[in-house]
Amino acid sequence: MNKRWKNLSIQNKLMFAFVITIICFVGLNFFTYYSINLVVNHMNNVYSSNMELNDLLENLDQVQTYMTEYLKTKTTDSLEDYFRSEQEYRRKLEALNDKPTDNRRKLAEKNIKNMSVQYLETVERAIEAKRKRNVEQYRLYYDNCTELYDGITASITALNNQQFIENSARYKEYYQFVSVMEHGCNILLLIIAAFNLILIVLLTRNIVSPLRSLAQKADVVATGDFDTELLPVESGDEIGIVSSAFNKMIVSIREYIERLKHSMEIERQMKEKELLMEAHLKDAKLKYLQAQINPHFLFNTLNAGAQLAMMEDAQRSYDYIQNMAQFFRYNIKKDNDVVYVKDEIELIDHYMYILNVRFSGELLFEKEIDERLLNLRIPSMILQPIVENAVNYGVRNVPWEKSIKLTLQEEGDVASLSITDNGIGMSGELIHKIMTSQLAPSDLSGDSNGIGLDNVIARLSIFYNREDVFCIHSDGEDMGTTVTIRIPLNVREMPEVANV
Amino acid sequence: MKHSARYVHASVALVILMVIIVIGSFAFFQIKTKQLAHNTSDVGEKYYDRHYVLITDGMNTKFWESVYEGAKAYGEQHGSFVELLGEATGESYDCQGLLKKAIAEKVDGIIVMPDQAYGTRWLIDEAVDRGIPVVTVYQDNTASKRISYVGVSNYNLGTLYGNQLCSCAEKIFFKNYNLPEDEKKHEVNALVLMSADAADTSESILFSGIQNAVKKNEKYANLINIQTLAIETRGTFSAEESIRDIFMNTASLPDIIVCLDELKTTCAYQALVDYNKVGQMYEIGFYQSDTILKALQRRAITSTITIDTNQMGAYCVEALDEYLSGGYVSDYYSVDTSVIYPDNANKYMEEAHNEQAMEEP
Repeated sequence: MNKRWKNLSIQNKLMFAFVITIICFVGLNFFTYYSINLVVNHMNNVYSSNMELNDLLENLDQVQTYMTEYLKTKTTDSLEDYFRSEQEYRRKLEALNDKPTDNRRKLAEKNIKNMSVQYLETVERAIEAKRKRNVEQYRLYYDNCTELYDGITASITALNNQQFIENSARYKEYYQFVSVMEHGCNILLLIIAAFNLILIVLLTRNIVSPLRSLAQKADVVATGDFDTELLPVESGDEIGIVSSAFNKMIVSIREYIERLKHSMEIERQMKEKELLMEAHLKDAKLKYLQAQINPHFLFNTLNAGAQLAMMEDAQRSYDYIQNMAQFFRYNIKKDNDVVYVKDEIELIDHYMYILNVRFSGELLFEKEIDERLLNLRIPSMILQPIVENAVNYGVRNVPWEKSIKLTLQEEGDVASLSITDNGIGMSGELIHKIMTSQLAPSDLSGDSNGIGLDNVIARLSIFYNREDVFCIHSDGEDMGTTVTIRIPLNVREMPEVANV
Repeated sequence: MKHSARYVHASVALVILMVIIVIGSFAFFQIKTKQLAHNTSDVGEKYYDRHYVLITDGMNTKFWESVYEGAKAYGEQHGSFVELLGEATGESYDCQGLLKKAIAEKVDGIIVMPDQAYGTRWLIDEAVDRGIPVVTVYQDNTASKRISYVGVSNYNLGTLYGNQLCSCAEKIFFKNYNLPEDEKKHEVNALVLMSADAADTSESILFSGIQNAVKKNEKYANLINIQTLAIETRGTFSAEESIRDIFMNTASLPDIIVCLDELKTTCAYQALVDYNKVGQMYEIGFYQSDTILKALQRRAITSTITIDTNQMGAYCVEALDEYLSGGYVSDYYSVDTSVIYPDNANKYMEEAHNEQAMEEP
């Protein structure tokens, strides 16, 4: 019942409410009308017996009158009237009871009927005697008739009176009953009206209540609370459908917000990375610029020097100046932050040539390159600081032959780019400090061109999004140092990361 | 439980309640209407094979009511309805008028206490001639063609009265022992109240019975002086006035007053009380109405002679039934008589009350 009600549409629910109330009112009115009509019909019949008796009496009077008139005048008209009234009287007599009974009224009817039959017989005899002009006899019959007529009249009157008393009592009962019924119907009408009012309130509340809940829930959602409980959908009507849709909307919004949050988080993380990268690059560039005074001027100057050396046929000077010019040029032309490995190695070639000129060819620089890996992407200005460190802190002051080796080879899913020196080596503690960026500025010599290893390590980690991309290895004091960069081979397939 | 379910249940309950109220009220008013129609319709009426009428003198109502009840009860058991004629007509008919009416109504049988008026006999004869058997009750009309008489033998009734008279005389003479010589009674005066309009011999026979009974009493035969007084009973209030006249004349007050019907008994009793003669005068009454029984209990009436009225009524119907079924019937039905004293008045009173309680639903 409840389920069926719930699934009804609002229109049907309202229809139901109205139909029920209308049926109740119509039923009540029908009942009132029917009951009152029934009682009124009964009341109408209350005095019918009196009217019938009055008719009978009137008819009897006519018989007596016409008979008397005939006896007086012997006219045909009076005889005809007599026959007519006599026939009518006999017809009415047929309706009267003729059996002995303990019902007083019916017993009186029987008596009246029997008396009347005898009366009519006597009347007939009187008329017959009149026709035969037997004066004495018809006078005698007339007297008998009159006596019987008086007796019947008295009996009918007595019965009529008795009936009237009974009928009046009956009428009074009916009248009182109608009065009671009238009051009863009024009270009933009020009760039903009150009940109908309550019914309408209940049914409309049943319809409106979910609407109100929906509105309240909408208010809650409007304040931004999407975690509020979902609306209970109890009905299958229009409000149920709207509530269901509202719930779906809340769930969708929640999911959307969740996705938005997640993408924002990713974006935030990427932004953070970008900012960090930018910061490091700027830091590197700043330090590089601090270390160089107008590289363009310096490059142009060095180019002019190289041309001069060429004109003077000083080939070595020319090569030296040319290499220096190429070295500084790398810093100028490298607008992109991401370069190929071959560019970095080329820079190292120039750098090593310059250093060998400076150190009188004491530095032995070797390369072991797998050329298939030269096109791998790498952040710029990575190798030079490492080589600079290897020279300055590794091999600079060693009494033995100074050697720097650059290796690029494939190792599983990474390309291993190593710079190995045969210098003084590094303690494990120092390596740990470098890797965790705990190196104090005092530990650095002022001979550096400015870009520290922590910068290099941070940029590599951010670029490749992994921590194991950079490692330092040393077997101990005077055992040399190897710095390895593990470039993921899939970096080749990576889209170019701009501005890293 | 959700709110909506509660609303739905409440609504359904409300609708059911409304339907129940409407249908209940409808049913209630229908039942009441039908009850009303039922109460006023001819419910429980019974039809009979024969219709008899009882015609009385209109006096001694309780007595004749009792006779009528007896006749009616017997008739109901045997398929006859007895009507007390003249009861509901609203006009007072005399015996002859009622007889004429009964003949005109073509009833199946007439039970009549005939008056002694001239013409009653002819009406009885006319009824019988028209095939309506007539039974006389309490008083006979021997000259008529009535088929049977139901009543008591007036002579025997007179004997009963006579014996009671002697019994009263004995009491009076017994009192003499305690009285001074000059106040002692040497003779008892008894006054028998008879009907002035009684033209038949029934009361004369009754009076003869009284006289003979007294005469037979050797002890008091010469000491009881019996006188008669004719009381007019045909007029509505004449009996009561005539009896009061007796008490007005204090010089000739009788010692014993003998009443031959219920009306005179009641009037005489009331006069005894009103004139403060209870204990000084003795009253021998007739019949056993409530008033008379109470008077007996108070010892205002010495004794009352009663006849079995129910039996009387039953015999009347029995006689008519027998005649109509067989064509013959016994000429005389004798009804039992008995004497009620103050000592056994309680018993009769209780019986009367029990009968009354049984008749009332």
